[in-house]
Amino acid sequence: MQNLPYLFATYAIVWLVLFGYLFVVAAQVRGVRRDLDLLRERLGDDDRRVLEAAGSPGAEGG
Amino acid sequence: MSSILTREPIAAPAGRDARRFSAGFGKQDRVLNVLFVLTVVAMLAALYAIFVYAPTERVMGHVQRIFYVHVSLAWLSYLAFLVVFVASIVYLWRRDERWDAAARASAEIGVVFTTLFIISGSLWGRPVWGTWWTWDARLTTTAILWFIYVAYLMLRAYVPDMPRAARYAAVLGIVGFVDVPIIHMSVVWWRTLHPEPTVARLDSSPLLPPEMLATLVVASVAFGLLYVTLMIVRVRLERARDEVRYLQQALSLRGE
Repeated sequence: MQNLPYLFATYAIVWLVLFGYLFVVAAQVRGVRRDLDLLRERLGDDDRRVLEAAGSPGAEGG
Repeated sequence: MSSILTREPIAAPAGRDARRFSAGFGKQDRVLNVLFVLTVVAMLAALYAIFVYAPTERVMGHVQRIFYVHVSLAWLSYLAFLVVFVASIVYLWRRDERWDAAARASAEIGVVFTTLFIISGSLWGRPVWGTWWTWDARLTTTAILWFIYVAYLMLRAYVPDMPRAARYAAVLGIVGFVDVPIIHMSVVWWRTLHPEPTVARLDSSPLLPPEMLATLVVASVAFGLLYVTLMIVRVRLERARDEVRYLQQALSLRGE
């Protein structure tokens, strides 16, 4: 009772899903890095004052 | 006056503790690289142990080698949901977004691992039990676990108000973890097709031969390293997303 196709299928699926997940996470990391770079370029010197004046969650202590 | 938003690697929002946004990419990359190499080496060692070192089981034959990846993924799934449980409690207690980011990251990895251990169990069950799936206690409680944490991820994705989504998800992450000990004890409490634990036994030592036990340990360490590596990357990703949301908010306040 060897059932090798089941063994092969299991390890193939596990590795395909794990590599697929790694690929998706890597793509998300690249996307967020790009967004951060773009946003940082657009923000100016007076951001702190704007945030504090508006009392936004981002300007609070936590 | 220069803006604090331009500090590297990821700036802290005004008035906040800078450490809260210190999980940015570009920092601690050496640690991540070392972990990645260790994970690859451990995975190769695990594959060698599974396919070369471990003896062939007499009754099931080679298909029993699914056991090593199936059990390792199951243990790591429970660990991932334990991290969600602990991080959710601490988040509700301290309202620190770092713990929420850890819970989000661990829940996603846990769902991936749970999906894989359910699939591997099904592929093992077909030749051994003669069925892909049966609604016995172990499999049913595992399916419930999967649905709980898929619901957790959907909650995170579809509730637009982040603090509210974090609170709701934290409650679900705490309540959902109750299923993990039920899964472990299900084969003891109810008569099931799934065998009783062979390693994590409350009343005796492991029932496995030493070679099989050693192989299982190596496989579990390899998947454990993979979990830690993924957690570091995913937590940084979550913190970076928090930073993007914060910067977008700053821009919208400026009227851009």
